[in-house]
Amino acid sequence: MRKNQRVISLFTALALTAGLLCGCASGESSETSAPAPEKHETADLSAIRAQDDFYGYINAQRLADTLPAYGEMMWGTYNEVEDQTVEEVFGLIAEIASSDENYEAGSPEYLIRSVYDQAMAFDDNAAVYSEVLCLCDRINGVRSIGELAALWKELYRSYGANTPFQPVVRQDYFKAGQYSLIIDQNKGFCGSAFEDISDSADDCVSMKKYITDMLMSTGCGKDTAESKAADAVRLSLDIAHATDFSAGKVSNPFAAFDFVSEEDMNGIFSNLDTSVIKLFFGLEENPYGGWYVKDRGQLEKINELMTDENLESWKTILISELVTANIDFLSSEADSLSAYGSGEEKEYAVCMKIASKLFYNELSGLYAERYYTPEMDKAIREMCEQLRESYRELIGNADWLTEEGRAALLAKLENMQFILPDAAVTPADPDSAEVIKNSYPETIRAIREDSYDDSIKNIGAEFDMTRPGMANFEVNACYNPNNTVTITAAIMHAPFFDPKADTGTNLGGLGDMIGHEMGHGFDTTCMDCNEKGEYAPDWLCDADRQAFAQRAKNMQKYFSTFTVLDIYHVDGEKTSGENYADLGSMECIVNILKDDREQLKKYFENLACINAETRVDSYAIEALETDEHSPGKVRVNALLSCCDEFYEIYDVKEGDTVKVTFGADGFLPSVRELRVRAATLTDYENSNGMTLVMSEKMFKEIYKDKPLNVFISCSDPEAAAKVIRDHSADMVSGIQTREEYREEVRQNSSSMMVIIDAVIALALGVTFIGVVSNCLIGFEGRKRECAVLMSTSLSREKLSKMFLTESAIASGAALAAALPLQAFLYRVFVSVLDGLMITIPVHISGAGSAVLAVIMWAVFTLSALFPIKALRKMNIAVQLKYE
Amino acid sequence: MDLIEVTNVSKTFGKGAAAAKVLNNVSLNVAQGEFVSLMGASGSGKSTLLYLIGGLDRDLEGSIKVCGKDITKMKERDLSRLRLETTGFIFQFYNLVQNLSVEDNILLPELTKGRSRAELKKDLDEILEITGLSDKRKSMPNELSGGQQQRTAIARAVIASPQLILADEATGNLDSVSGTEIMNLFLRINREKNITILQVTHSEECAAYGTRTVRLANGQIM
Repeated sequence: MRKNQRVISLFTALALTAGLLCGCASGESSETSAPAPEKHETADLSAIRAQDDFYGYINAQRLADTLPAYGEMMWGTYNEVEDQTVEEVFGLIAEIASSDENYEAGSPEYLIRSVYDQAMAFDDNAAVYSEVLCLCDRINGVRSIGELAALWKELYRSYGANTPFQPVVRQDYFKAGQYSLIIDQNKGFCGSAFEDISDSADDCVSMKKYITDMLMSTGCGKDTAESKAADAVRLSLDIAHATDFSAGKVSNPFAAFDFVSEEDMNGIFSNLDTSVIKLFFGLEENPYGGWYVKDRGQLEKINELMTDENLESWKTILISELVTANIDFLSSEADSLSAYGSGEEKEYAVCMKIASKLFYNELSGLYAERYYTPEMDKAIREMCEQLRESYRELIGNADWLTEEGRAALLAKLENMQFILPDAAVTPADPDSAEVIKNSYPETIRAIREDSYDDSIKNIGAEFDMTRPGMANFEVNACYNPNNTVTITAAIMHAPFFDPKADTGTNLGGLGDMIGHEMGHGFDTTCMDCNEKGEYAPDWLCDADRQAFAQRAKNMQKYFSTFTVLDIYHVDGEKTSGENYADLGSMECIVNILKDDREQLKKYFENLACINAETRVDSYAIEALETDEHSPGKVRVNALLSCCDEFYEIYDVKEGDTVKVTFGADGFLPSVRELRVRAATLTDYENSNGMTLVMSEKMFKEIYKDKPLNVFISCSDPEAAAKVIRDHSADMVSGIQTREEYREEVRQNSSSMMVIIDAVIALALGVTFIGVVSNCLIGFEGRKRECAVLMSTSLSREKLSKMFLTESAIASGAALAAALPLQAFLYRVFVSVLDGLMITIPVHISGAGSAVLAVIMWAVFTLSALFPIKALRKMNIAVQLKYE
Repeated sequence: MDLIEVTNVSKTFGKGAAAAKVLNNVSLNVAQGEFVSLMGASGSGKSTLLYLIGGLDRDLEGSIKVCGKDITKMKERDLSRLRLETTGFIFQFYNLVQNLSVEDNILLPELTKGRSRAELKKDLDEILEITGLSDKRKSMPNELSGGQQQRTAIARAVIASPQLILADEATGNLDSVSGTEIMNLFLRINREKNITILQVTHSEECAAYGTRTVRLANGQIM
């Protein structure tokens, strides 16, 4: 285990000096040094020690024999349980479908069996095809955008055709207990993501091909279909270029939305009006006075394009969406759709559709009835309250919070609701039976309409806080910002939960899951929500918020030191919320088990077991950018590195050896094996670099000669220096005040600074020459255009002014772009210097930078004088006369 | 008073031994509403005379008056203003701005004077109708035929209601059908809008559309 990794920092020099001065280090070496291990050597898995790599210690042997299935990116404990759950769900559907029982009309069993029977018996795709063709005729007959919007809403409600707007009725994050109207960001049309087509010409070609195929399936000729598809792709690209893709990736659900009032929305919908949006929400009046909008720019662009001029392109998109939504029925009916069939066995496809789309909630209730027993319910409820009690104790003892802050967090903890699997069990509703029609397609349509109408009915209604956040057959649990924790029945399978297992084992599995979700209530995102679950960042006082932010920062820095595949670092900021929840859970459970070493050991072991996973290398790297969770290995090892109880259990004691990576996030990491000389009490939040003590010899090997310098910063540095010289002169080679140190660095680095200044001056000179050359070359290419302008509309004087303005804008834009580049290069430069152990004071003054920017802007603007001079000499007649 | 008064104008290209006198004491008057064709062999100086009258070339001897003002003595700024207010140019190679649509090319001179699109809408619709470009208003120059490009250039010249149009071999790059269309357009503009047209052409057929033909040879009017 890399326990000491967290304590290595830039302050280590001070730490050593402090240690030396305090006499904490003996003259003997306290460590053994070993070269970094050879890469790619065959590992002896049985030799992995718990204190070096607990995750590997528990899982290595098991993982060595397992690879992700062909085409899969990863395999892990979760996937194993998921496979089991899928079998159970499919078995449940098959059992209901084959049962002779006379189910009550409207009961989940009745609905599932009815749809299953209809789907399996259905073989008249041609009828659906002909219905879709009629709908396409209606679309093609539309004569205005307003008419198309009305038809689109109808097809969205009944046939599932995606719309340009993404209307959603969802809980209001800002007002507990009520719904809100949300217009989410549109991710793309016709199965192509805007982000993909804006990045890749190949994806544009694929989109065009897809739309062409959809149109051809409705009887459109190939040439016409291609032409229409190209127009639709162009329209999609216009929207893609106006889309703020970062808004779609914000992990904080509150930050992504802006409230747009009715009046503002009228401003956005200048081409249509808000009645179009209301139409999609089925509203006449908006009871909330506005909408939460995720990407206003995208909405404005859609409005801009919603004109009769683009009517044909919108029709093309609607037809493609309509065919896409019903492709299950159509793929066998048109040649151009043959490649889009799922290719799945019919029974499998029907079960998947029932579980994932048609009766997700109903099946969730049935699954709970089957697999969630009263004994489990009792045990889980006890576990939840046990975890709440532990959190209560931890928060009560959190001396880093103010008393007011502790009271606020405790109130939030008390308000936290657990939504257990039985919440999904609902009584039979006879009215639900009405969705079962005469044929499978009609039933599908009725279910879609029912689902839409149910959603619309929520407008103005009270939000049901006990509503589960996910289905019981999902192997997961979740925290909803409204301060509820949903725990599914599927996550109660072993190894997560087993009624016969030990307390520690269950706490290491399901306990950790629940503790983790509870931890989200206090993570970097949800800490902005008050005890009611409303987004209200000011609900904690400044002091608490600052203390919390500092701890979060320390934690982010700590997790960023961990890597996958040796060199790819975890993104501590991105994974912050999940890491916070993991740490909260670990502290909570350790607090419960701290007096029972046996159960604590089982907790650690099962924690490692449930996080076991193997990932394809490419996905392991990709996931660092896309997954908000740290990799499984980090979720175990980083956590336990902070846990003193872990070291007690696994007997890391004085005299043991541990491996430490120095400069793990630097350019030249160095792995050393150190011997533990003394145990210290630290945690990740208080790590400040003051706990690692090593010999002068080894420190010099890693950090060169710096450790023996003492830098003094206090009210009377000269007096302090004298005291140290008098008492410890033989232990240090240099004692300097801040001013002395700066002067020395200045002298040492002056020659380097001359070189840097010369490079900057040279770069500016070369840039200026480049800009002037560019202006003149550009002018040569524009001579004819200038002559045309002068003969038709502009005087030479006006044209010259235009050149100057153009140059001023270009120079301004270049400088604006240079500022973030400068900040970036500055960081790279400083990092490189740090990596090379070179100390050069680099000071960037704001005022100096501003003056330099203005001067450079003026100089580069004046470079326009060169083409202006050339313009004066230009013979207009010659330019116009000849081609 | 004639719209154009050219008096004893001479023009020499080059210096010293390489000097070539392309116009030699040329005098020419053109009245308001005339449609004059300038003809002559290549190198006879007809285009040079046209550009001198248009003020696009100022290096000359003699005097040229346009609308009663001696452009040889005017400051650059005043000449520019006079040119933009009174004269429209049409060239053999159209000289459209390639990254502007037909509509924007036509409106360019007036927009730069500060007029709004709304103000120009009526004039634009009228000139597009006259030039037969109503259905091409959003097209880019590279999507047009040569004749359509030249009609766009004519519309650009006419939209500002100039008193004078100077056309330098406007049909020289066009086939006979397009050429005829352009000449008929000139004729219509000349008659309906009373715009004076001075065109340079090699074609007797094109010259026949004018009210008068002036022939140049060896830098002098015949």
